[in-house]
Amino acid sequence: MKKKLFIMSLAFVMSFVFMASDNMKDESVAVINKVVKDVNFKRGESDWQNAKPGVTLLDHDVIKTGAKSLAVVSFLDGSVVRLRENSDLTIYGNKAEKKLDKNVYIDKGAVGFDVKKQEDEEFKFTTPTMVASIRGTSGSIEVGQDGFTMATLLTGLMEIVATLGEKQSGTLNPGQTATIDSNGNVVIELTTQQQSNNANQIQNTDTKTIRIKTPAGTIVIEYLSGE
Amino acid sequence: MNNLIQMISKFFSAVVLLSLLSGNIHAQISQNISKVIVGDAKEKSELNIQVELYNTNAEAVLLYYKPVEASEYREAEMELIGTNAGYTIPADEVVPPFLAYYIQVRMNDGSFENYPLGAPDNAPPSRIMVSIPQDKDSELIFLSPGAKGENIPEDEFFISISLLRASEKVKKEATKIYLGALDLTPNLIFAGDMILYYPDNLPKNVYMGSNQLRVELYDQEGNLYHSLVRNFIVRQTQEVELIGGKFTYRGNVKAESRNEGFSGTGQNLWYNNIGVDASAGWGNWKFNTKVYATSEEKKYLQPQNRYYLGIESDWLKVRVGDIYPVFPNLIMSGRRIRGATGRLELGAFNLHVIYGQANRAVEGALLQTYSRNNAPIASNIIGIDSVKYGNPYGEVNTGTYERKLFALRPYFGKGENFQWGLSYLHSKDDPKSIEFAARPKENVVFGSDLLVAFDDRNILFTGQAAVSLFNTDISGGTLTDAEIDSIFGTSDYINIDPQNVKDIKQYLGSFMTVNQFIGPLNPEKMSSLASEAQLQLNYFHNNISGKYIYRGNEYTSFGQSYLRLDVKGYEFSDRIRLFDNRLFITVAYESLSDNLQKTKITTTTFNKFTGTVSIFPRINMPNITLGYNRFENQSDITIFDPNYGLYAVDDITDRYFGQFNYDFIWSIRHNAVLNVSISDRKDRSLRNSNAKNFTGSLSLASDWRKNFTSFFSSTYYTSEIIATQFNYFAFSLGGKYKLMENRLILTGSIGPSFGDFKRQSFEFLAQYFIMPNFDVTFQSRVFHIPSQGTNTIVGVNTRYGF
Repeated sequence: MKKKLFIMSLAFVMSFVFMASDNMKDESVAVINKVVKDVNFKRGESDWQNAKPGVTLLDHDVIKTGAKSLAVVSFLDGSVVRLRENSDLTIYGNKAEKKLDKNVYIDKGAVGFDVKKQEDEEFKFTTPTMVASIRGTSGSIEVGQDGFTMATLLTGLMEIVATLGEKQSGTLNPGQTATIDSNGNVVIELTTQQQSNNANQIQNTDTKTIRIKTPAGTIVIEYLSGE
Repeated sequence: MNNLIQMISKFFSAVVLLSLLSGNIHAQISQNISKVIVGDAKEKSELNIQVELYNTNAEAVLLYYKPVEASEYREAEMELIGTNAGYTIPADEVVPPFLAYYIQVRMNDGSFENYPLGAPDNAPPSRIMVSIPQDKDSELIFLSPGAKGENIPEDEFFISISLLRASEKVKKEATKIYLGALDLTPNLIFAGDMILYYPDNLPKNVYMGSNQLRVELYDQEGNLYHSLVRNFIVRQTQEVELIGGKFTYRGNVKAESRNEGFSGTGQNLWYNNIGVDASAGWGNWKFNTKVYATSEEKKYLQPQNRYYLGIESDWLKVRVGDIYPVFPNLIMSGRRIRGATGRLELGAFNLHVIYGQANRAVEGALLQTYSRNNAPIASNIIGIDSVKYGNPYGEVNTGTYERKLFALRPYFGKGENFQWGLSYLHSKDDPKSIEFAARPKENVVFGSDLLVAFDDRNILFTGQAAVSLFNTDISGGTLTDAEIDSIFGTSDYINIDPQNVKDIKQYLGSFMTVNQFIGPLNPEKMSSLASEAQLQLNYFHNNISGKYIYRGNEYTSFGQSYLRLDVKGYEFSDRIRLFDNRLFITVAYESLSDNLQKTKITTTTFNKFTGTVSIFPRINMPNITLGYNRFENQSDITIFDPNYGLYAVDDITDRYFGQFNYDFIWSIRHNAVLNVSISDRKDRSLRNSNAKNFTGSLSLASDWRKNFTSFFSSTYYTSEIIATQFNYFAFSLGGKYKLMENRLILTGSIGPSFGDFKRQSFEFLAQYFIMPNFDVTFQSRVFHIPSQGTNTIVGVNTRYGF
């Protein structure tokens, strides 16, 4: 048992070293700060790998979360994206001098964000039905079936353009929620209490852990507080 | 073991060396305050101050604080629970370069003590240096730990730092990172603009608990370019019960049993107390509660127990129990009320309501009775029930009436750029609440306040005004019109037009009791008006402020007991930031005068000048503050006035002070603070109360290893007030040692003082963590004052977190 634990620990440490040294060849644009349960990332044509805190992410890397899972990603400029369960997104980062243009493509799932205000820098969220440009903003974006997107803004400003059908557009202010459907309709309304609770819940990444000691070892259950 | 001995000897060498280097060294002493703990002072961030008292005889603990340029200290009643008092200074009031403060402990027997002793007149106040963000701070981004003061679960601890914004001058691969005194640089991983550190090779006990991360950037020539510090806490992963639904909660249960012995009086007292504080969340709603019950709760004292239950959301805050409401400071400034408060915050319209008990009824005692003919005239001779006690008058130890307080403040606007508020406060003693007391009182205050800001608050105007009515004896109730005619009039008892009093009764009779004891009866003299207006401009690195204040001598608010009254005048100040916030220059001037309603024989003018220079080099150099104060007080008559020369005021005080803060590495990491203050008052009045004072203090905290820190402080104080000298020297020396993988923390200190204040103190604490959320602490303290005896405190307390 001890030997197994030792080998597992060694593998864990080596995986960090491997991933870090591998990343050094390229320009990192973000780092995974927190992982709960089932989180994987993919680089280029390589296979999916388990994600762990400290793994750096490059331009075009894909990250996905499983059921009851969570990941927190910090970009080089300090902007934070929080992936809730069953989410799938691709990270794009273009570094030029001291600037970092970012684009996060959300294929499905729910994402919370805190974006650092910076002039002449882009931060876009793209979903199958819209592109949102944001500056100095926090809020959440959920992508459901058929790319149906719901964006709730807590602070800042967000410009939304539908990419299909009617290709409507609009500006989202704090306290408003936008829905974008596959026909290109953009509907902006005041955020309801339920939507506000939901957006705050998406931002929350506090976790708690239960350790149950059994004769066969310790069972660790990690769960999101408030869920 | 040998290493430990070597370290301790090294420590003593350091102390001796620093003591010699600093010349005269010094310290703070207090009969009541054991320790003052000041949080991390950052510009525009809330600042928490905690005071630990030796014993539980305090009725109230007041914090007086002000930015360097302000003329007047702001008063705040600290939340007092047992032997601990705490207060959080609002973020807006935490401004660089420093805050000056002193603490006043008010005892149950009516006496009080200021800390530092003699502050603010005969000793300098303490100072809290406020750190300032610099432009270069933004070149270094902490990704993990992220937020300042973040709590990080042990399993998630790693360090990631971004140099995306770093200047071209920075040589990124030369970056150094320290965790406390530990150099992490050799194991850093550089990934483009990112620097990573995985603590796989570090034992957990090295980084569990409070940590300070220091990142140093170097330029291409190898010179230190900038450094930045981040404090964070690594905590053990919580083991808690799984809770269904969206309901979350956390809290603490604390219990203490303590024995205090006084050899001088032979007293030996046990104190027991238990407290629970808890918070919970349900969606956007938060609940918090605190219950503190102590054996010190006595019917003959104001409440010692504390409790409250609070519920709050984004738009509503309600709290029931012990509350510390804050209104515009002329009306209410955080005094304790037992009752309820509600705050509705809708943005455009908001409402704040308070109702509760400001004083609890405490019965007095009847000492002696008198017949109508032989009753002497004295303040404690009152009318009593003659049927019950045989005589109509009695000499009493006066008690305290129950005092109820109601306050209401509707206000419009969030306060970012506009807010206008109206305030109403009514407070009244209940004459029937006790039997033996005199002169129940009543108070009404009407007020209004305004805030207008432009250009991202670079132009900020604030103003407030309040008028009060104060009735000093409502025992007789409101007068009838006939009674008014008989009491008031040019030829009567009070020379005031009776119609004026009737007018007051007509308009205000529904608000309060109107009789001959109400004031002011001549409102045109503005004796009960208090007002102030301030304009602040923040441009070109200058923060310029102009303020006018007026406070009549009769202004009274039961919600605010600590205002300086009978004063008017203006203040100007400018705080200048230069060289990327490395240099602060502050100049301030105020001119105030009293006797607004000509109730005094003389009018005195109080002029004050303050000038300070603060230097924050941000490299391996001390932060330095040098300052000068001049106080000139002069009345409009001289000592040669044949009738009133005795009342003449004519004095000048010059005070010079310096403070040096130095974080440095000399084998290990140290923090040293040196304070020096010299003042000289020349009094040319007949009182001739000349005074000279020198105070100096040195403190040194050293991180010997991650699990061993030491601290040393010393104070030298010498004063001569009206030819009476008072000198003392005090020091304290102690350390904190963590054992058994941080399960056991031992803290010990000794603190003798010499000279005119002789005392020896010894303190030992052992805290043992049975579980991460369950600890037991043994404390023992001994204070020996040669002329008075020995005070011993021995106790056990425990805390369980859930």
